[in-house]
Amino acid sequence: MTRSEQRLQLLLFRLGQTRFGVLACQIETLRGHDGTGSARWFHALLGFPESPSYRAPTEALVSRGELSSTWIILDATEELLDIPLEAIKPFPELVEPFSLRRGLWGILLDNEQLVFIVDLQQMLKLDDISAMNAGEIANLN
Amino acid sequence: MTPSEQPAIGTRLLGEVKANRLSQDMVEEAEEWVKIVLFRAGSGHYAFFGHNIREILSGNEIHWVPGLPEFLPGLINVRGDIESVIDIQCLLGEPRGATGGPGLIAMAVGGTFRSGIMVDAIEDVLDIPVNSIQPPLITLGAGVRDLVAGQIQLGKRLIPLLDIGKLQERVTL
Repeated sequence: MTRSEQRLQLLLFRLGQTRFGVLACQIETLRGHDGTGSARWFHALLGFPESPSYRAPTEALVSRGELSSTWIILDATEELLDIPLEAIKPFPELVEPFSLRRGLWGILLDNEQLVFIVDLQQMLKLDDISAMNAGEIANLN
Repeated sequence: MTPSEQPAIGTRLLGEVKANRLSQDMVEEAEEWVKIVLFRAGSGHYAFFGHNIREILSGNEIHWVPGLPEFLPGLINVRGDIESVIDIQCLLGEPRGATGGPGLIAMAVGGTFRSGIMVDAIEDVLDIPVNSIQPPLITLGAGVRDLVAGQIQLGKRLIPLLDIGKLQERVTL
């Protein structure tokens, strides 16, 4: 398959007013969030200064290799999009170093709206490294 | 030379006029001029070189991106191209909310640099002689001093002329 033929399946979701997309292959399953459990909140992983109100919290099981998976609480999952790789734009040069630190690696323009593409596996890894640096115990699997 | 051989006064004066114009043109050619864009950010007045400003945008929504420093308020969509936006007031140490304005974004380019820059208002576009650009005063604030190529005198005002290359150095991680 040539690069121009490569297609991506993205699950779109919202957090507050901001739209995000994640590669569908990173998510094993989805389930409703019942307020219990040890799932990690997406806004906390992303470093939101405050907790936004979640309208429809949904837990996504993110694969972290063959041995482990982690539940992340997303909000307002919208739709599954099938798009060509070329539809993804990189972040501008000045912004990219900062966005990559949060696991954000690309932008999709969907109906004139910006959708930030996030690598949930990378985001979990970065959060674990941050936790280790803070002296907390983390699982890097 | 007999009077009949002397050129008519009109012809002589025309020759002088042409000679004067030629020498004036030569002086102007020797003097290099440069275009500058004068703008306001907060309560301060600043300028960019005109060749660094591609266009002025208004009414663009700035999309917030998680994890950006204060001087990068987010991104704008410019006809399908995603561009970063720099809050120049933040870098210049201008007090926020002092004056406000229509909220314009100057699209700046220079070398490998490319970004929108938030300004409160565009005040003028001028052509000035390059040799009228003065070195920056050492009394300039630290935030400004790191970003200037020089200063220009406009009336009683000394306007810091910002250097896109220095701005790039300041904001690049």
